[in-house]
Amino acid sequence: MAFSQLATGISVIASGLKGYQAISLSDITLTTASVIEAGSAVEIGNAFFLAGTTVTPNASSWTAITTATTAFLALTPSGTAGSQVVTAAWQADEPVWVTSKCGYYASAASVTRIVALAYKAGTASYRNKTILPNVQGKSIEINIPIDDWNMDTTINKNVAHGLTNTKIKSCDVIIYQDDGANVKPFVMTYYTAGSWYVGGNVNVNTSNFAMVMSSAATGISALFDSASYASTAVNRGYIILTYDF
Amino acid sequence: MTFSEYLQLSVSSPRILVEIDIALPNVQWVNIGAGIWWLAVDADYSAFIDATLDDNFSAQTFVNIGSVICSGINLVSVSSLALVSTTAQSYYWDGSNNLYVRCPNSDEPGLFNITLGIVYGYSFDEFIPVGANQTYEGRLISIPRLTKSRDPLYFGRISFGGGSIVLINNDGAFDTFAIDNDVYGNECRIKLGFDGLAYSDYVILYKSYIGQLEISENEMVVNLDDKRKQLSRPITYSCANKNALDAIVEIIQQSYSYITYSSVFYDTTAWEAAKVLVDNVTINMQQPKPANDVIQDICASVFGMFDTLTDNRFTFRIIDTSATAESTIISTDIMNKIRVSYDPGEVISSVRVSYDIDGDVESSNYRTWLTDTSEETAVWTKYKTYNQKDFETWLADSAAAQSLATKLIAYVKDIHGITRITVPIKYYDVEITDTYNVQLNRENSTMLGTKKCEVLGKSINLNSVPTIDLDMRIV
Repeated sequence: MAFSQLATGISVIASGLKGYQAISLSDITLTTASVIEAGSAVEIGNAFFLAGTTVTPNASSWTAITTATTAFLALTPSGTAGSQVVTAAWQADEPVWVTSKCGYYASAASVTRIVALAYKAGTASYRNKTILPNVQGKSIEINIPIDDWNMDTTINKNVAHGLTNTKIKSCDVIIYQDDGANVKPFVMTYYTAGSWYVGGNVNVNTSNFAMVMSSAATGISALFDSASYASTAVNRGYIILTYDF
Repeated sequence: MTFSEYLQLSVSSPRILVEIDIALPNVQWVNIGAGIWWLAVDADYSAFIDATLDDNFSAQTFVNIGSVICSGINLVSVSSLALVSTTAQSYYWDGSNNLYVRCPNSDEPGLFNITLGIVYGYSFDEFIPVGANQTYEGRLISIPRLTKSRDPLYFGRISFGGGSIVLINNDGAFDTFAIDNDVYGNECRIKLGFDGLAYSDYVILYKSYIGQLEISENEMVVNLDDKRKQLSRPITYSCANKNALDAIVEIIQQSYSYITYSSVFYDTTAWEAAKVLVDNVTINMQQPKPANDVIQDICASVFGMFDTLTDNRFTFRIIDTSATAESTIISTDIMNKIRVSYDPGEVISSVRVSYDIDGDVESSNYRTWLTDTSEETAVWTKYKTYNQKDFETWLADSAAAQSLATKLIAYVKDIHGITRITVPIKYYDVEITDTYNVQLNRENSTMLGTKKCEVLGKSINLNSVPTIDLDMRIV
């Protein structure tokens, strides 16, 4: 069978725009609770929904999420067909990609669409907020802030990911100098002016990105074991990972 | 008045409706909610979409829909649009103009072949039930008895209901019916109601599927198939030490992937209740066999019966004559003279139950037999007969085989009187394997008195004054 042509009318709107998703979250880079911004729009089960005003995810659904795990933002239509409304809530279960609906849903037969994720670091701490893609096979890119790290005095740093580590397909770590003058990859080695310089290593275990840097004590010239990376008042950098459900 | 109130009246005018669904493919759908699609018979979608966006949809001519089939899957009829939103694989027909469907997986209709079961309605006299939107043509000549029964010895094996409907064709209205229409395998419903009863309150006595059609110069005979008969796809199934009812669910899903274990397709309450009472089975089929035959073999292994409800959901009944009687059938409701048959030929003195079948018929260990002769002497003393019967089962081990043997012996070691009683249609919901207290009396004096009886068979006669014949086995 081949694709068949749709009449240029309601069929195009209902079927031709399947998978459409235009979601914006407030405070997406902050750890405060987000709302879905007014103007966001989404297709769910071939029906289209517009957030005329901000949509606040159900608060108790966040309470039910276990701390130190990743939660998923679910949009569920309800009400009488023709005047349905969509409410938002957090759920613990990972979504599945539904090929016939071209989107992430709670299950193959569900009309609950999953549009974003966040890591629950604490009761009111929403980290790693990420909008899910609406393209099959596209890995999800998640940016995780490292937060404070005095690299002059502390050799290692653990950052919790709240994910299934075997589903992480790649990761990069970027380190910011205190004054922002340099931004360097954490895992790197280079040679200059007669010396080798080494950044550090990352091990992704079941809970954390376990970062261990090279220090001067090892006898190797360390990139970050320096007063230039000592401040605890700045975010030290980001872990950027790709993840597949 | 309600259906129940009409049933209790001494005088009422029963009405029989026969509804045959004719399949009509449909591609005109408008989305009206997440996974919910709308068909307006008059093609007026202006309440929801701008008329300039419609795809030249055209008005349709049918007036009633009795079923919706989505690529072979019968969608479940629900009573409101709101329920379509919450019920998987469902549809709602508002009775006049609007049809709403929810396809499997809440996917769009374009991914399926959807056919609407347009209702062709017939009755004994031309008739429009209160609140109905169509005339039921007076073409119905007869409805042979709708029967359901099980053999008193071959446990688990149930006779398919079926039967046939005869419609008048003297005017040639049906001459090309079988050629012009897509009818085979479509739904047919037989409904019971009364003059003055709202159409929506009519009770479905029997829902089946259209099989063979026979059209002559003066009549058309529509032969009906039971839903279970449709489970005829050959299968080769294997499982190890699995609950018998879980095995049945797997077999059905293996044959028909859309029939998942849910309240849409199963009476899950009865199913779960029966599940804790049955033993495990081990099946290792080497050759294909129709799925319904395999299911009946499993039923015979666990002293139960696979059945369908009038809403076409599957259920399972355990044969348990110790169960509390459903109610009492009083003597004044019994319309025939009592006649009880006692057949010593049905007494069994010992049983052999096979178990642990390994599936390889060439193997010397093909199956193991357990013989229970514990009642042989007692039966000989009482009935002067030896009668051993073999039961081939899929049971997994000797403990399960012994458990079944004990039940079988207890059931058949004595003569149990069997009688047929004719009762009013108010007993329409009596089911096979149920037990009732029956007042088996003469007209003016006691005969056997009140006896607890198990229902072995049920035959509904709708041709004149509706009555039901019940085959009862005195417990």
